[in-house]
Amino acid sequence: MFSGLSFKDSVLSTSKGSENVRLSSGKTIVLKTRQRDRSVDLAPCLSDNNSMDVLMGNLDIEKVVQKPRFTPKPKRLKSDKVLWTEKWRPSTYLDLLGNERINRLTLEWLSQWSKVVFNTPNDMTEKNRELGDPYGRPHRKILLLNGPPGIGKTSIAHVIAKQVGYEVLEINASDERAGTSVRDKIRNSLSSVTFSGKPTCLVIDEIDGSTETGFIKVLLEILNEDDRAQVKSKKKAKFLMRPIIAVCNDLYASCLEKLRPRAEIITMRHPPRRAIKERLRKICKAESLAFSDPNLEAVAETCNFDMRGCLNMLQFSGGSSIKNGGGKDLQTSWFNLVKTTFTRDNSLKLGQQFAQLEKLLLVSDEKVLNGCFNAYLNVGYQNIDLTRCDAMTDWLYFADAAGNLQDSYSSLAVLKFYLLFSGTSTEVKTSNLSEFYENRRRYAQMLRYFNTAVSIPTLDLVKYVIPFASSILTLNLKVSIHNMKPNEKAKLETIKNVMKQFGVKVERSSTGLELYPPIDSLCHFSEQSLRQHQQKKQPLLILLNEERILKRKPEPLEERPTKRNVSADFFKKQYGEIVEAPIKNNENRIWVKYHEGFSDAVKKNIRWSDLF
Amino acid sequence: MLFYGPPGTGKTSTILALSKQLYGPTLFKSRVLELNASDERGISIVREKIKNFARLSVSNASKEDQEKYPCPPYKLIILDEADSMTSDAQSALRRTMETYSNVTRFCLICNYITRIIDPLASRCSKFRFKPLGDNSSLARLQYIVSSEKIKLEDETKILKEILKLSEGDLRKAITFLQSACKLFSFGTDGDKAEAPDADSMNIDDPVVVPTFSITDIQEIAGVIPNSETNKLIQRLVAKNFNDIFDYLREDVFKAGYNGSNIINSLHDSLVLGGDDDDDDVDLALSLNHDQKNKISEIIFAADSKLTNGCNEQIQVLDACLKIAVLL
Amino acid sequence: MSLWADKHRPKTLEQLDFHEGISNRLKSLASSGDFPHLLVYGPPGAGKKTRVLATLREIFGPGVEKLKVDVKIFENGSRKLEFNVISSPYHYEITPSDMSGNDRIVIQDLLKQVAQTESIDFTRKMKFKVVIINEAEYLTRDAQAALRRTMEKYSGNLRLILLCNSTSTIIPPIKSRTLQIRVPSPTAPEMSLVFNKILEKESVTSFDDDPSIFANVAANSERNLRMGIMLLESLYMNNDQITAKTPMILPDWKGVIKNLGAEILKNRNVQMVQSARSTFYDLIAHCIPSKLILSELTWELWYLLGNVKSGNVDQIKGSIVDACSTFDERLSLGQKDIFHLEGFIIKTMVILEKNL
Repeated sequence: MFSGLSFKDSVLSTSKGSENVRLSSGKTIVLKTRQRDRSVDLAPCLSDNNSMDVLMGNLDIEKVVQKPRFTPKPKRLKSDKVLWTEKWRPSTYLDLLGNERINRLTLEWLSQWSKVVFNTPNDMTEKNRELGDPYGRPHRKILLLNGPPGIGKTSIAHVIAKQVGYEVLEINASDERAGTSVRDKIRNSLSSVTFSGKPTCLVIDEIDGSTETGFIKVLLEILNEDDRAQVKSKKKAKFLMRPIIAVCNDLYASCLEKLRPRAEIITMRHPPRRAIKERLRKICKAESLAFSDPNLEAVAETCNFDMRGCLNMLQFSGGSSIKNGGGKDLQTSWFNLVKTTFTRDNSLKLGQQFAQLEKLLLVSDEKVLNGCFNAYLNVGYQNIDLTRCDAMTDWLYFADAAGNLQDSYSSLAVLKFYLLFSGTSTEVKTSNLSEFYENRRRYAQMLRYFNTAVSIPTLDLVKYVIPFASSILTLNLKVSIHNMKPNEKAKLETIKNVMKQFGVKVERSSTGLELYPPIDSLCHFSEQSLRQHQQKKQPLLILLNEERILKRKPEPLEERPTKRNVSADFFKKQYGEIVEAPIKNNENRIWVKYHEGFSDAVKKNIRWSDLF
Repeated sequence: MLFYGPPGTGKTSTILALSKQLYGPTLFKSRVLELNASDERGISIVREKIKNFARLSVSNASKEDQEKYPCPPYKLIILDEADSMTSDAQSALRRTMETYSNVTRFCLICNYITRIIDPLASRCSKFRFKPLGDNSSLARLQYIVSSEKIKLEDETKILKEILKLSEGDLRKAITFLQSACKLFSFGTDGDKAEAPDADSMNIDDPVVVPTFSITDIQEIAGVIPNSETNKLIQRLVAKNFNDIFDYLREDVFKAGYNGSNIINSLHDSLVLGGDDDDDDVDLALSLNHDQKNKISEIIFAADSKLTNGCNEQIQVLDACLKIAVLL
Repeated sequence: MSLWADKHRPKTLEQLDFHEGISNRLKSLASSGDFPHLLVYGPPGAGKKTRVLATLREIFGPGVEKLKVDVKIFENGSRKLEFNVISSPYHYEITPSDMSGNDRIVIQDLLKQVAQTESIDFTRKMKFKVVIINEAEYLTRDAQAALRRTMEKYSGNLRLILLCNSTSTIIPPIKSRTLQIRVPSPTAPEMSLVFNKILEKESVTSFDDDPSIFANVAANSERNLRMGIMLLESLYMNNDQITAKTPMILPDWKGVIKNLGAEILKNRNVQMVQSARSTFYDLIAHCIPSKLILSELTWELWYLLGNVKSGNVDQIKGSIVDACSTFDERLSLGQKDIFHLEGFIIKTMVILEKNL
């Protein structure tokens, strides 16, 4: 995917059809112009039900550029003096490694701001305007990118912002982030224009530092002001006119709690193994480093698919591997140790190999044990039967209980794995547990939230309160709201009260209406039952959402009531009519009393929503 | 001094009474410092507060005080519940004890002497407070009953049961007595003064006739009544696993009895032997030594697991099933 | 506050529906003017807190029901800890185990604070304040030690009421300083009575007049009254008419464990262990405690084995319970729960293989 193109180069082409483009390296290639207006492009493609791969294949760029000549920029630095992580940082959209969908989602969110910033139309802006935003900005005005370290979050933010045409202003953990100084900085950046004439996009890196609560308060202030500006349409309240992208590692850090419901959350995962290996291979070639494939895989596995870590490891261990010609890798990464544990070398006697393994394991830590545990059930079925597994459980308990005595006894359980489960032709695969950990944190935090809301102990909450509460929040609606029977109305009232008690609200998200916090996902296990339940709840959610919108009713900007220019003639005409009516003396007269001191001039209409 | 022994045997009372007698009420506040587990006793407090107090030189007692009370020329620091002090705090204490020993004496009170570090224990003279003998405690209880003007039916039997349940802890026994009288006397409206200490006495209360039985006492003590234990043992003998399971889950645990109580009462009935008064067949007599041995082992294992915080229902069920096999 | 369980919670001792003996005892305590420290224990959902609050109302009057939630801040060296306290003019209610390791500080500081403030209301008969401590069985040993001396020293101004499910982790000095009141679970007929009352008050007619429905609900809720009422309410919300045939709503995680138990009995091989492992990860991710998983699985296996016709079913059951107790201890002592849960599955399979 290296094309060596930068955005500037392709901009040179203006006319339709194919173009000759000069690369920065001097070579000239032929390109077909790419339509930037997505609404025209996607419709025929999507309707044909083409997969993304086919569409990417249609991009002629891939076919034309045979030899990727990826030159690092800036050129002036020599390759041995600069860190590879900086040298090979992606600089354009196509360089980005990773989930295509995530990249597109980010681009999509950012391009929704184009209307208000660049005044270029975008199909999402109309939809947003319908949802109540006067400028057609996205509903959630801060983008929160999160994920494990080293997968490209900051890079994506920079690249995409630059691509769309912003100048990136970065605030990260090394800058001063106390409340007052950063507030001024942010406000200035959001309203001014930089030297290059481009508008600024704010990228806030490492937002989940624990001491940055003041900083997050500033962000929330900005968002709240923006909300107020929408509803009251005061002139003083400021709208947020520039996008803000935040990057963090830990989505469930306590300081981010208040920010999360207001932010569009995009969770990034590790890029697929294949893509990482490809990229590593290309980099190795470019840096003339010989690494065999399984070694690359070991490197990737050891670093947990973290690009930055892999590059560092490659850069600083490159020397020794070259000498060995990329042969047998002697790195004692935990993954290699796990593999060695499960491989029986037939050339050596059992005792010898045992001694060898024991020496290797002297420097191991619990990652090796966890890796073995993860992998042992998948290793060559001919070795496994239940009695062996049974013998293993006692040793696992020993390892767990030994706990603090890691140094002396840590290797014993692993050696037992070797004795019981090793084989000659085994393939070792470990499963990735990061999703499990993340889910656990997410649910634990939801549980704590409910615990403070309802003050019932967490054991009871998770055992039966939450499941039953979630099933209480359903309504068998067969008729519309106006034709509901009284007991159904009572049920609806109960549902609303229960929701209030638990602190659950109806919110609009990208997939439609849902409850926030998502109480359903906490108590439902399989995708199927979750979906079933959510479908059952849909009519209820729609009902509640309608009521909520009816309550809010923000006045869209365009329809601000203009002052009626009422001329004095209007009143004169009315008086004239009254005076001209004949008064009969014998008829009953109507007396009109005028209250002194009561003047219409100072009357103002106040709605209840203003007071509360 | 180091006072140690089971709770409720009079350690705190002894030292407080001793110090009051030594110094008299006026000097008491200036000469005695008392720190217990509810005060901060971290290492910083040891370093500052205790050391400062220990360092103060002793003020001369006034003449009248000296006539009435033997005022020895040193101060007293009482550290109650010393076994919950961290070992760091205890270490900080030991040098202080030595340096200021001519003006300050220490008295440590604890339940388990093993929790006091050796250097500290070696600097003290140890006094062991044994659990009180039945006779003296019984006499004390009878004295209280008569002072409080309570009429009890079958007094000796009930008092003996109370003493048995309190396991040598006189404070517990008195509290049981008071709670029992409180709970089972309906319609008393007098303003009874607080009696946290067994020493204070109550006067001129209307005579109350509480009616409570041994089962009620056991209820207050949180112990399983004998009748329930017997029912459980009958089921164990019958060896019907399903029956045992249902009984345990429905009748025992849902009633709120906790695991260690069940294990204790099983032990008492099966290994130690029941009371002479019980009409039930004394099962313990019919078991041979081998069986008792194995039963003790099972009960020991269950008890240790329960102390580690395991799920009570599982552990008790496990112990019961194993015992049923043996019987 | 509108779950039925909260709306229809009895507020006075007279409104309570079962355990008359306990209500009488509490009433006599309340009127005696000499109120001791209490330790109220019993299985969950038996009505401990309801009774305690009703007793307080008996002593102090309806002012006890004006509740507000405060957040108190304590200093622990350099760190500030926040802590929720529910209070009324006459009592406080705290849950120190929320602070996990720091509960000793809460006890020392908060109780001293409360005890040292005298109330100005001289007309009151009871001049003490009450502090209710929830989940007392999870207090650390240090916190309990701090508690015991405080109880003695400040008993003039302060009364403590400890609520817990089981007294085995409460240290003996505290047990000796308190009056223990045991609140057992309601029986199925008693629960049916309560259900009937609630349905009448809510004027709900969608339940058939069939006593077996209530019996079913009571059986499915482990004689836990709050669970039973919530089950009743969800049945009502989800069905227009409830008959004896209406299926009971089961929390999802229980269904998952039931399936797991059935699978283990059917297939006893390594693939089953693998799929069991992923089920365990799923359950743990949803914050179901591992011990609960273990015990529920054991009960499920016990029930399923009851339907198996084999000579030595009793022996199998005994061995499985033995395995369960071993692994339960390992769960308490170790840290990696998944090791031990999986170990239990493997051991069970080995037992079943040998004996079936």
